[in-house]
Amino acid sequence: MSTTTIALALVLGFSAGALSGLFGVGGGILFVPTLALVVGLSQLDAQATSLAAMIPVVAFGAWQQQRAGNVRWKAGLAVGAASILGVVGGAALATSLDEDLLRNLFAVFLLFVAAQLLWSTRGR
Amino acid sequence: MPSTRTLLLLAGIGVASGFLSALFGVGGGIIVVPALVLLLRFDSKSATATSLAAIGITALAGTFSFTLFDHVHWDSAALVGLPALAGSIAGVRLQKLVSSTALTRLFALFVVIVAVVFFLE
Repeated sequence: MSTTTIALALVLGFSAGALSGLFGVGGGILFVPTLALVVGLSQLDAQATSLAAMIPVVAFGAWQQQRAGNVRWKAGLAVGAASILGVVGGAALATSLDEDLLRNLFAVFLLFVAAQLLWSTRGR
Repeated sequence: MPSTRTLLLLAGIGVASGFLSALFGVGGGIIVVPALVLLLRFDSKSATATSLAAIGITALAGTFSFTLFDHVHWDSAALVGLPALAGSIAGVRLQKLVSSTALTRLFALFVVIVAVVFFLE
């Protein structure tokens, strides 16, 4: 990894965290482009690595929210436990898809996220 | 004791978000937060907070699954994940200072541009 790549990845990582704090969307939608386009990981490896990268951000965020008394733990644990089932299916599908198809599907997903962000600003 | 309907909804939200999370390497908050608000009448503050708790479990499960297939690059994860931790603290502070509507639209535009880059890759 060149110094430029490392510097750019550090800046984009910081930005991903800032945007997740600002907009409440996870860092993932920026981690994946950074890891794939800047660091040069394959689409699948970028996505897998993104999940690991978000652990410190999410853990710290959950701890802060817990201290503020905003977390409804029973619901959170129910959603989290059920998500493991979905993860198994999603991981099996992601590892079996062609890289180009996965990259294009991710791009479609980004368009969905953009639409959701715009929808959240309606009437404001 | 929550009703059966509530439990089924929570489980459905979990399975859907876990699936998207592992398929695309994202947290799943994009599903969990609106679903908790629209389907279970959470206010947005507790929806965001509860979603973070759920995503913690999802991200751990996803990381574990992909580690089995040797797809996780830990050095790169630390390279973006640790500055992101600092960034998220700054982001939460900024949220109290700036108006979010214009920024959110600008961010949406940026996400569209990234999507186009991915299509062209």
